[in-house]
Amino acid sequence: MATLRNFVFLCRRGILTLLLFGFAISFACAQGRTVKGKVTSAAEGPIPGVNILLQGTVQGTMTDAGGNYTITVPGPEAVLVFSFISYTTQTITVGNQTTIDVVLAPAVSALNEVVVTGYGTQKKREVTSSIVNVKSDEFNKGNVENPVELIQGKVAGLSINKPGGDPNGTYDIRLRGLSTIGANLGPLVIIDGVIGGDLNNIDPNDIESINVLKDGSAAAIYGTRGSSGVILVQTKRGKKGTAVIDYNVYVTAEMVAKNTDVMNATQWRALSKEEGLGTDFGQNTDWFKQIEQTGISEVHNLSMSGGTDKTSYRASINYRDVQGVEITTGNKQLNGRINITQKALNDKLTLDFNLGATEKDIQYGFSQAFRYATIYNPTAPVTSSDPAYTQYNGYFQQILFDYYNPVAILKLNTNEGNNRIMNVSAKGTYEIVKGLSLDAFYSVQSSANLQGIYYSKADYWQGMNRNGLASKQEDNSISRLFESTIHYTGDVTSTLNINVLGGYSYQDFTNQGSYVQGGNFLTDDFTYNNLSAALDFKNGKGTITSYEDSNKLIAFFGRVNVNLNNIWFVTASARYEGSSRFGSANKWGLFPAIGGGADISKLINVSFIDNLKLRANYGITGNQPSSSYLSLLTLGPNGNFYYNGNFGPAYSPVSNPNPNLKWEKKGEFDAGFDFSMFNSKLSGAFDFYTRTTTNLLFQYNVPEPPNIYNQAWLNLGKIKSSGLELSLNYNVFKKGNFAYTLTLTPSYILENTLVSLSGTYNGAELTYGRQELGDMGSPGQNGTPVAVVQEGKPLGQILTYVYQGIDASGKFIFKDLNGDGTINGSDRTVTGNGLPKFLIGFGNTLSYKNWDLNVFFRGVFGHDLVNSFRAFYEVPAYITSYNLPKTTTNMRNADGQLLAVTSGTLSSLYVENGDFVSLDNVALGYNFILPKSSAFSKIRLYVAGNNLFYITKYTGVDPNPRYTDPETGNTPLITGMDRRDTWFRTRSFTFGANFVF
Amino acid sequence: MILLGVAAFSQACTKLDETLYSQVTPANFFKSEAEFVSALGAAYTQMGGYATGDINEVQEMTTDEVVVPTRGSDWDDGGTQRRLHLHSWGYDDEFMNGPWAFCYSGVSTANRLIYQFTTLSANGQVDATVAGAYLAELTSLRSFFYWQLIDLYGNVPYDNDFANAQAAPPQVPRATVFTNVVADLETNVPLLTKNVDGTTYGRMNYWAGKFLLAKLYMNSQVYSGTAQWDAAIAACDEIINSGKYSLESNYFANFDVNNSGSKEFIFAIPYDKIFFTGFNMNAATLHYASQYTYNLTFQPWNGYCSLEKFYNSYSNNDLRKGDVGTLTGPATKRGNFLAGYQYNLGGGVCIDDGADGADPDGKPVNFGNIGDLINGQPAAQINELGPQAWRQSGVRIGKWEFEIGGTSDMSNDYSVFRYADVLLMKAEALWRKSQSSTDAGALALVNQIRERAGLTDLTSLDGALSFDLASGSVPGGELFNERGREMFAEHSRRQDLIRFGLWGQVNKWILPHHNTTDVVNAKTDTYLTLYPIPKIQMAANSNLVQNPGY
Repeated sequence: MATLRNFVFLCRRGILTLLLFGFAISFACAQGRTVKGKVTSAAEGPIPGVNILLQGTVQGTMTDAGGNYTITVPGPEAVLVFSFISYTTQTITVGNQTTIDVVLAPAVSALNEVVVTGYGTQKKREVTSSIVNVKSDEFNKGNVENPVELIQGKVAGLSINKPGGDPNGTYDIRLRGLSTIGANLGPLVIIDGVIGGDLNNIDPNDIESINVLKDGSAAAIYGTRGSSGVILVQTKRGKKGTAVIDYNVYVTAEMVAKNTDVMNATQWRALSKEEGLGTDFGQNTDWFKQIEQTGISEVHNLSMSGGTDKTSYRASINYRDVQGVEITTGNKQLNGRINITQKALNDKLTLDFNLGATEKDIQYGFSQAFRYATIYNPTAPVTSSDPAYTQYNGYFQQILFDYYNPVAILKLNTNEGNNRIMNVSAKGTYEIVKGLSLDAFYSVQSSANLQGIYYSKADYWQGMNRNGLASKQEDNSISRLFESTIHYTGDVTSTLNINVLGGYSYQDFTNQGSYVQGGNFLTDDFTYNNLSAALDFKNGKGTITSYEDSNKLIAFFGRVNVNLNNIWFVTASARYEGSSRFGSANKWGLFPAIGGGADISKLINVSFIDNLKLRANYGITGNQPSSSYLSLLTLGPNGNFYYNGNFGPAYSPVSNPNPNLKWEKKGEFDAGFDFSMFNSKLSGAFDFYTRTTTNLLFQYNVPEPPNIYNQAWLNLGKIKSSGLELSLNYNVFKKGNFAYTLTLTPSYILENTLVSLSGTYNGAELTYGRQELGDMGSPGQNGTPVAVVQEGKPLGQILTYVYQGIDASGKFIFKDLNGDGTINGSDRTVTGNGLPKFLIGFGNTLSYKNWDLNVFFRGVFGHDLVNSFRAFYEVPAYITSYNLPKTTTNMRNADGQLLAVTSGTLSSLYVENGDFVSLDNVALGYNFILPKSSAFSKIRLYVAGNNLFYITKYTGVDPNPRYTDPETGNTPLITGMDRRDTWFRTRSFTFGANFVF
Repeated sequence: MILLGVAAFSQACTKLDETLYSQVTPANFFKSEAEFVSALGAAYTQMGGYATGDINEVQEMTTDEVVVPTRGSDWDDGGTQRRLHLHSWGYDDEFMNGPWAFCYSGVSTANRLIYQFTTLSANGQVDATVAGAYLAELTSLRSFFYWQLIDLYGNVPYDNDFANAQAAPPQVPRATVFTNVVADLETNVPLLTKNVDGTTYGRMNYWAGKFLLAKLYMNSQVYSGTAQWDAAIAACDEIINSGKYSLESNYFANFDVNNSGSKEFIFAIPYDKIFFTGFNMNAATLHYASQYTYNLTFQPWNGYCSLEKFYNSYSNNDLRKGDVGTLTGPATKRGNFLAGYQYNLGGGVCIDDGADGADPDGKPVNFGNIGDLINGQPAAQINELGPQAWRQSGVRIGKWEFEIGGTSDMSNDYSVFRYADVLLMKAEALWRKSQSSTDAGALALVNQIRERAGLTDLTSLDGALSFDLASGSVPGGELFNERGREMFAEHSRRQDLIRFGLWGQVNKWILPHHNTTDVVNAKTDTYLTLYPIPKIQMAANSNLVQNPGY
């Protein structure tokens, strides 16, 4: 904390900014001679805004509107570097020229880019699988707190999603729909070679590029963990011949974009009067205003980087001070990163060293405040001086079911935490002979999370019953990774090039932690920091738990890439991997992949096609269960036993062991093409994939006896999915000062079916059939299922009654599906699906002179959402206890009589279409043309808006899909449940500046 | 560096064993007497779910004793509570699976321990006599769970070979399971200790085994088609004549917070707010505002209450009934029910902020609206089953003392087998044999119970049924009523109703409604004496066959 405060002091918003700005204008440069010239392109004439840098220095300039430039150089040995986006960079030694005119060539097709694959890089033209590379200049801009936001909407088939504006919330990342239901749902993240890296340990500003391995063939090299896709993150590194200091700063204002649409005091009184129910307390309280704020956040990123022939380095420090839109929430984070590369032994040995450290203080707040602000009586006061409320510290409270003053919740209680993440890695690469190299990599990643909660003695919600209640949770994890690979690349003949990789990988993981909860305090002053003061422990009522577990993965892997004539490409790989989590006979699994590609444009000459590569591949990836020891019979304490007049512990098996537990297997076929045409004006990729998961890891119901418990983790079942993906990049025009580029990333899921969830276990036939899952919850809807999982049907089905109207007596009419004259459980049917079918990102990049503008839309279609607030509270009779949605007054029959039911009932009435198009990101930037004398090579100012608006018919707060249900243990089998504790949706505006010198 | 790395990892290069930290493997267990006992304990911890778990729902909510009215949205829960009361449950209803899972978990644990103890004994790791006593105890406890299973579901799997268990055990006819369980008990009960002290409290001793046999014989007609009244009488007599148990002079000594070691307890669950949790009657029955009557550390749920006809089956001088809180003061006499106005510890009437205009009492909390007059008539205690039952409707279950400052885990022990039931069982068996309304032996036993309750002696066992006074006197009617008054809320009523052939008369005790579809839905079919095989179990075991009617 102390370090954080000091840093805040140094960086106090704006001061540094002004200081640097002053520097830029006044700093004068050394003397020399002047070179001038004009930069043009063959197709488009003069190019304005071309960067011209004096190599090895930070001095540089830019071309003006006519493409002209002037630069001072120290002497004839000076080297000028001309660079401009989508043109090939040119390097020219000045010599004795005084006028240097340059013709820049358009950058060669994107197919010549180098992309990062697992354990290596490859030219994009040689890649036979579906890999998407997003570079830092293509990232989303503005208020970005988590690295995954950088590529939200940019990768066809990758859904990055966080409903609501919780600044401490996590993202659901789904690649190509749902291929697993019992194991890890999100992609494997690899940061600078650290497998299973923690994205919270990288500041978005430090990221150079993000690669997404989409298909099974690309991911198979990661074996048991590749099934849900792989995200490879490369951080920025220093470059030879430069010494750059880069400072980014931005300030963001974030506000709630949409509250639940409930009645104000006047509307509440009208309905209360009509119903003859409810108590008017005489106030006009906007409960949302009471718990919300405009969150002001500031972010600073300062880095320095540089390099010589032997050494390159980059060090950065990032500071974030984020305020949430709910009062009392936010976080402060300090992150540091150092990357150093050193060459030795005649450049045959390369040593890389990376260090990343994050320290984050978090104010979580309480998401339930949104729910209670929604239903709290708008005529009630926030506080009252009536002595009856003294026990609540003056906050107004009523004794009703599930009803608490939201302001009291936030202001009386504490919910905070601290996260520390540290990652250290080192890599040595030795080039034995040209083309043959051997490397070894070692990394340790550790994290420590602390969370403390205190509910005050005056808190009617949780604390009062317990006379103050404190809890403290600590979770620590450490993972160690050792890998060694051997690479060979070389030409077998003049037309045949091969690239061979072999490797070994060892990784272990240890997790441990503890939780303590106790109540009954004399004073609130300790909060959760003096748990021994809780009398609960003296009375035997406190809770203490602790745990430790571990697991490891060991793998051997290899890959061969073949390039024949630069036309034919073949890649084959295999990983043989073992996990300690599997049963003793099934520890090891083989994950092979093969793919081929052909550059058609080299075989058939079509004038407008620059490049066309067809590719097809097949790969097998796996998944391991998310916890250890499932294959073993283990014992643990389970309650107590009254024995000889005293209670002693009772021990019993922890779970049903499954000694046959093995990896879940996914086979995926992907076929597609990469293309570029009309002189790179239009480029893109198209993919079709079909994937089948078998041996699905799932916690099944098993008969008891013979089993010890009625659930066991088994490998049964099959999921099938397929889809289409397209990426398009279209340079609409580039004329003079004006350029416009458009990108489009649509993806469509053709199928996502639960083919089977049945099979044989220990000789018993297990049939899943059709099962109803989930629970709406209270008030009044306990035991109401919300989802149905059925073999042979799509995943994500929402289950409700079918609403038909309101009858003459004011009751709901539901469709009697089985015609038996009554409405009961068997009249529920599928009325929606929570999983989206069609995703699209739509980006527009415009530049004019020094201005650039990015406008990015995101669309998600085909998913439904259950609006829980409506499903519970759109009941006029509830006016006696709660505030209600405005729509409640429309709940009438044909005669205008208000709905006469006394409880909400989940029906198709509340299943709403979640389709939306959002304006995710708009950023307008200005790059200053700096005087030649300036020490700065770049000054950029920008404004950005995030999540500016949503076009949707959904009436709830956030139409983003709900991939899992937080109230049912986050199972992916229940989707589309917009629960009442979701944070409200926000929008934000950012002002930022970037200085490079 | 490469060499270093290879050296460091060559040892662990391909080993994938799991390392345990917070769990223990059986290979490292059973090393001390204490560990052995802790393993036995697992068979009993299961009982924590008995008193107010799902098994309580299917044994009590379906009878004329207890109901959960739907008060607005509270306890609506898709109508599952109403369906229990109307006998219109389906095979996928919420409460069908809980009792099955509860019982088979008990069976499964017993089988596992029997296997483990037998193996340990055979290996010489434990003394054979010590192990033998434990094996008899585990078999008897297992029989308790099988008794519940045949009582609730009829034909159920009976497979006790842990080591070579069938993957999907098929059902065995109810009568066969019954015969097997009786045989198990007849073999093993004689091996159990006859001690009644701290070492047997809360466990299956000889007498608990005899009581269980008595229960099985009493219901033999229902379970197997053949009555065994003499066997029931003999089992009861053995308990009575042992002199080990007797009626407490005060009925409520059995239900106090500190009721441990009651002379009436033959098999008790030693609930404790810290060590043995799961008894939450206070949460289930009390009104939200009752929190301040008992200074509870949580807000109760306003659920369980008793029915008006059942409440009225107690005469006002019945010591078991308790009295009524009025606007001038709280009830002063403890009873099976909490009725009338409720007071907080400060002496004020509890207030219900959520009372709506339809509730005749408004905000002061008044259980059952007793003493109120509407149009000159006493108000109904529960106006309807739902969905608009008044929030304060219904007298509440006050039988167990609610601790001041308590949590939802009560410390009152729960009697699974109580001596008073031995007397009532024997009385009924005598009456069944003699078929005489004035059977002197039976009357003497019933009157022991009545005398403790401060009531005059019965002279006839016949009488009008408490839930159907209009029916006039029926044979054994008063015996049936007395069983209800004494054993209220102790999981006895459903068996009584079935044994007396009254289960199908559900439409006579269900609450008044204006929801006519509910009345139509009240089912009286005979197949309903058995619950359906739960849907989730049908899916897990393809050899199961659904009970007829479902």
